[in-house]
Amino acid sequence: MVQTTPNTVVTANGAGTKASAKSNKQGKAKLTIKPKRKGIITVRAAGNRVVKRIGVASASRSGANLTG
Amino acid sequence: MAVDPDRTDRFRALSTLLAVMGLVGLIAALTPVAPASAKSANEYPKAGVILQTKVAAHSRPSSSSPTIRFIPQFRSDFRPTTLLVLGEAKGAKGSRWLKLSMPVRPNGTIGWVKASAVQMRPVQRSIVIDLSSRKLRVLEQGKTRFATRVAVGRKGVETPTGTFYITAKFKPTERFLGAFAFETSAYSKLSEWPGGGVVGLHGTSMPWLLGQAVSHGCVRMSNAAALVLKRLAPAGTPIKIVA
Repeated sequence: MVQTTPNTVVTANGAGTKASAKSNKQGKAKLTIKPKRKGIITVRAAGNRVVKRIGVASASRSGANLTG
Repeated sequence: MAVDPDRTDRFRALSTLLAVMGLVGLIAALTPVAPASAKSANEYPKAGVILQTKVAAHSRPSSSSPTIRFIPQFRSDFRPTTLLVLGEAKGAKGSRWLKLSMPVRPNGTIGWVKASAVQMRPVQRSIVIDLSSRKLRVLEQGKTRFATRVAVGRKGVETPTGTFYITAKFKPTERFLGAFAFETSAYSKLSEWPGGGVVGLHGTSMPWLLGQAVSHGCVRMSNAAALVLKRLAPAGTPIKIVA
């Protein structure tokens, strides 16, 4: 859920996703996304302004940087 | 008209009780309350995330002081960079600055960032690791919520002491790190280690070594304990390691 200007297009790109939705009269836009890979999803609203960044990380990873 | 003596006594008792309650309320109203600044000082530490792409951490609460390093909003594994906020101070022109425990070498480095760049949340629990008794405890409101036996760094590569915090949590792909692992802001004495030599809290594939000083600086625990800690300790949880 993104809060922005009423009746504007909100887009989400990155991490294998591409989605857009129009905000309602209250300025709320609901985008359902399903990332396909790791990365950062950038959510842009009116005026191409970045309103949110979301990191997509995998639950498991190498712990090679830990000394053990 | 007849008056019931029991009823009169009950009325007197009720009147006395109400008078005492009123007096207590008056005393409470007149008692000076603690200043707001004292309350806010007690609220730290807090966990925080960065709201901008990157933020400069300075050596003092001033933009003109040297920059220690730029902290990115996301780590290289795309997890959000979590901060531990230790306190706050007013800078020049009345701007608010936050005092951070920096996840860099040397251990114990302090940095200052502008408060407007950070979103904070309170921390519910803290972890205390006692190296001499080789015990890890999770504290919640001063009470032990969970305790477990751990293995710590061996002689020459001792687990560092001080105040640190959990920077990330993940399921490791290496069997050696057990069922679950936490990355901390502490660094081991092994500076040449690939990836920087970060001290971790993790499970183990060798549970018979628990309770001993055998690791390269990491704190090992049973896999069951690591899974309990996964539930209790989010990123940003403070860790106090004592000798």
